[in-house]
Amino acid sequence: MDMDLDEDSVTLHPMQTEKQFTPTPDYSDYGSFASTGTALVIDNGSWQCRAGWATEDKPRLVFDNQIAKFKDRKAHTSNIFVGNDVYADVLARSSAKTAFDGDVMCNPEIMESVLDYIFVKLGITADRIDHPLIMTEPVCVPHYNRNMMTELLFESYQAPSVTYGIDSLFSLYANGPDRAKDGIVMSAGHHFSHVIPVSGGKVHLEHAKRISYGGVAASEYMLKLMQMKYPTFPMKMTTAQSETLLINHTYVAHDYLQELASYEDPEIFKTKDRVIQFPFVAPVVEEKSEEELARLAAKRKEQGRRLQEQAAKARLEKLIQREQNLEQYLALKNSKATLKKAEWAEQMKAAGFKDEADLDTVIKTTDAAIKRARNKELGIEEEEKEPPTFPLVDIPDEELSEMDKKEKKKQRLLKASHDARMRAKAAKAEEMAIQEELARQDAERREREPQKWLDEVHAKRKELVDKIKAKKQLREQLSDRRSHASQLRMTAIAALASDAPPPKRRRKGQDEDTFGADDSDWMVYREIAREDDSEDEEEATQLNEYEQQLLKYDPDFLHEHTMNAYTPKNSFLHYYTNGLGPYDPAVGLELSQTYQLHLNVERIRVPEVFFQPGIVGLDQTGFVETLQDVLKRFDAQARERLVQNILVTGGMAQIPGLVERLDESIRSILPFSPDRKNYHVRRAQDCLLDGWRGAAMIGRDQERIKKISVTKQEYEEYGGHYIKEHGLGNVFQD
Amino acid sequence: MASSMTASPTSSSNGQTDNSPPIGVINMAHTNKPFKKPGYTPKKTRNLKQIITLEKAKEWKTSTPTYWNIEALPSMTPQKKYCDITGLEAKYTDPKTRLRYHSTEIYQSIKSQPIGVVQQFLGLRNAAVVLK
Repeated sequence: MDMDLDEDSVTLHPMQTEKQFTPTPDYSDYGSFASTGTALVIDNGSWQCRAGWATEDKPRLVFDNQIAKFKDRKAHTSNIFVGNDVYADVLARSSAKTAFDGDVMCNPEIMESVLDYIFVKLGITADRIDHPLIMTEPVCVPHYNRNMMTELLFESYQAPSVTYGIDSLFSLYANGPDRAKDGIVMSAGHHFSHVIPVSGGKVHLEHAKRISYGGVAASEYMLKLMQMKYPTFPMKMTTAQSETLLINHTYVAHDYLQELASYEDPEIFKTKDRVIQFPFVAPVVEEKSEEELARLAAKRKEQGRRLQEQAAKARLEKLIQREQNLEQYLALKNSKATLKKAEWAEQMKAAGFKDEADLDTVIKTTDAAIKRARNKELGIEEEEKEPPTFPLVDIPDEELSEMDKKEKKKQRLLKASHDARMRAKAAKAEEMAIQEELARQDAERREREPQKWLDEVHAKRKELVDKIKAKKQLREQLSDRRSHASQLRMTAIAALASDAPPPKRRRKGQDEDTFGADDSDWMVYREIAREDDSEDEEEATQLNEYEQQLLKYDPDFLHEHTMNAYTPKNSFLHYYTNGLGPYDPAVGLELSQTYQLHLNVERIRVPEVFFQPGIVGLDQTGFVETLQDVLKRFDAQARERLVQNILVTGGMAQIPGLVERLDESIRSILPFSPDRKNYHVRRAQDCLLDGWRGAAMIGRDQERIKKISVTKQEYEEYGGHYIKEHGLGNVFQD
Repeated sequence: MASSMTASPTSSSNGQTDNSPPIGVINMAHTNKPFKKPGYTPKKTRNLKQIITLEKAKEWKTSTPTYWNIEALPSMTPQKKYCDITGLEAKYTDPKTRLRYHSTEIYQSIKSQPIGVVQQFLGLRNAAVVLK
């Protein structure tokens, strides 16, 4: 009872076709920030951009870091939409671009539009950006790219100063400024993941590592997996959709192998399978009222009647026409007696007849046609045709005239075909009788000795199944050129093709070719023939017949025992793709089911790549091994300090179980400690916003900003790539 | 300078005209940007690969972390093998297609797959044969 309930109540997770547009707010309170020197903080991530005033506790603007530049042909306008505004328009959506290549900003033109958008949204009305800027940049960003950004900020917006930092280090700072001196940040980001050690207040980027797996790669992997799993899916899935699958349905397994194995158990599988329903339009079934149906039926009937009437009328007209024709023909024939011969011949010619015989045949056929039509009108069935007679066939040629001889030839042919038809009919009837007799005998035997009968059918079925299987195997072997079967075939062909008879025979002095004397010689053609499909079909129908009989008479022989049985419960591949819901193999999937994805093993397979990049063929260390690698570069004392403060941050850190798994696995790479107090792993309070928050915390300290920022003057003196090291950003080497 | 263009940047004011963007959207192509210094055109776009090739040409101390040398190293631990079709633990490898598989049932399904699909499955773990 419980099980039934479970099976029926499958939770469907609806899938949206596209991202919904939610407007980004506009601010008009710039007056309270103007000329205060409040720092402006921009977390410029490759996924989202977050921007706001350093004095506030969260960013005012959070939007997808992208723009759409497109021309509206109808309105003749050029448009630039930024951020989430892109989702408000179909054309914009399709022309969305980002300034980023990987996690690095490479297109300053797009970046400029994004920055414009930020400043417009914040309501900045001054003639320059008179606020110290604090921005995030990728780990070890190339100088060229930093130069592009700095140039843009100073040249286009005339900012007074800029400070760059790394988002994950800002996040570490946000999660306890007093603890930010020693620790390790593990960030699972949009494009990449990083492991960055900080020791004694100094960031050791020379020991940091980047793993080439993040949200983008994970979404793409998810998309590919789904496309492979559902090759005939009726809709085109987008990366945005696979991203929602990643965010909403994946989790990191505590013990990957154990978790994988659990998916094989249908009972556990049922609890873990997620069904994603894509929108679909069911074909419209028009519901008609009874009244309407009756009306329609009446209409149809009326139409039918009218047609019949028309047909009858046409028939009648034709009949009348024919009768008139017949009268004329008869009159013509009768007039032969009264008219002169020449005159009569004239009339015949005018009516289109060659001679009298022609006229007779036409009269005969017309008369027959009239009779047939009359009978039909009156509903009289035509009497059975008498078997045709062939009177001339048996008369010897000598007694016949030339004409009759011709006629005899014709009749002989007709007779031959008629006889052949009769013979075939008889043979068919005989065959039917034999079949019926056999079936009767079979049924009799079944009733007399049911067990024996069943055994026999089973044996016959088995023989056939073995034959089919052997054939299939042979075919498979033949598809491989190096298989034994293929080689035998090639030898046979070579032997047949060679002109020289086999040497053995020649030695015996028998030059005569005896091929074919033995019936089994002919089998060689069978061996070299690739396949014969006609036989396959016959075998399939025969097998089906046996199986139908067994299904009917053997209570132990069930549907799942048939050769091509396909039952959902015993096939992992079935429930892996179609779930464990009710399924009728004869009917197939319902329409709604063809628009469903079943997310199960993928739920752990996709995020597991963070720990085992080899799954996607990425030859890099996973999270834990990278951490081990990084730790190795510090002495034991430092190591002890570092592992006390392991912070996990970044968008992908939100995947359930990731931090727990890290916590569990890190134990295995550290010296044994019974109380597990020798290390500490935690998740950032807010994996998405803490980067911005940390930067804002720095931004509030105006004295500190003065010390670590690069001013416009310094930019002009040292170049756009110049930065001051401050422990939360990149290191500098000229 | 700013006073000459008084149109508010928000869409609410010009929401009446035909070619206005949807409500709540700013068309940045026609928005007043008083904070910008005119005359600056941003640098040309280069893709990351080009930039890194350029940067690599400069002289770097070996101890300096760079974008290209902080990449994680190849793993030294033995790799577990997983079924290319289902993702379950793979105990076997099909010698013909090189696909890893979990059970006989999956092996049966592999045998009926066309070569293109096999390559796509191999491609999931970057093991497809790439013809150049």
